[in-house]
Amino acid sequence: MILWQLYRVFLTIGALSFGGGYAILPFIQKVVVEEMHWLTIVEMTDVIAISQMTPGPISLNAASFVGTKIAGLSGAVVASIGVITPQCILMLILSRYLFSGKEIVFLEKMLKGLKPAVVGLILVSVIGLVESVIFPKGGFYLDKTNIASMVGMIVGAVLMIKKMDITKIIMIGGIIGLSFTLSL
Amino acid sequence: MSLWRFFLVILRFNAVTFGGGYTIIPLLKQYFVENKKVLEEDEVLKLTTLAQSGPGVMVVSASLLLGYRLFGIKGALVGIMGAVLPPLVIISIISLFYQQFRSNLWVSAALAGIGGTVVSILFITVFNMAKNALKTNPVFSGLMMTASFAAGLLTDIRTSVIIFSVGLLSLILFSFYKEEQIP
Repeated sequence: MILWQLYRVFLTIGALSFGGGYAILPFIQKVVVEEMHWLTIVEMTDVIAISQMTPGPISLNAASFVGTKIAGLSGAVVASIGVITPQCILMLILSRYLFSGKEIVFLEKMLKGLKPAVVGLILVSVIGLVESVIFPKGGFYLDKTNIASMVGMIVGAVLMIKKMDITKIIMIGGIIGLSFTLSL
Repeated sequence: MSLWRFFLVILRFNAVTFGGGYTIIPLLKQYFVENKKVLEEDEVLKLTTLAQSGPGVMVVSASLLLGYRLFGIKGALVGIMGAVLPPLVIISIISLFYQQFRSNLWVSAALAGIGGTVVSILFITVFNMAKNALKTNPVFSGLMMTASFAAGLLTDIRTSVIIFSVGLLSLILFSFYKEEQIP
């Protein structure tokens, strides 16, 4: 059943995404996009953009987005509960120790290796994204849409280095997209 | 403070804070430690450290632990709900509109440009994350980073297997040796 499948997939993602918001990207790309075909890679890029423009962390946003697309509101609820189930069980167990003064160090030890490993995995996903954002139809070609994406990429890189607010960068990306596609 | 009040506070912080977790922590600290004086600063520090090192969504863990500390199990459940509801509601609505309007000329034109900026945002964020991760135990961290990058790019090893192996290896290594002993 689709709801059960949604729950299971997002449960696994929730159990294994260590090291902050973007840690979920490799899973979304490999499992949700490539394995389950619940999102296209273009939709995945859109979800990331939407996540930057709305409150809430990427994992919960992605769970709600995929859930709604696959099974409507109940899908969104099930996927969101799935993604937080492992951490809730773990934290409920650990909370007793935390506030009785015991030190909890095993997660921090795991994180020593996981933090850099996750960076490596996210980089793999981002490299995959470049190709599908710039050449969504595959192969090398130039048209209005992908020239707009390339310009967006270059402008985005410059503004990111200048530390402009991410929400503003995305809005500028939207303006670039509109003006290139509609004027050329 | 009542349980209902706690729910509303968590809900409000999660509904207005952009960019996910880390921006919420100073707000929570200010509210619960400085304004309401129901928690010690050091307790907030302890619970956010734990929430950050655990899996999943940091804000959910932090809200759960806050709720547990203030109201026990009931508070933990209320904290979870307060953190999950805002993105669930907002994104479900956006998702419905998205399915309707994605093929619209204007929307897809804007999203073409946005896609480009997202790629750059991610690239530079990953670069900063890498710099950050290499600050402590640079040799070990660099090795883990390169190994998982290579495994992800060149092999079919599942992401879950990579994460599991690295976590286990790291746990064993850092249990047997002190942090200073690992290069």
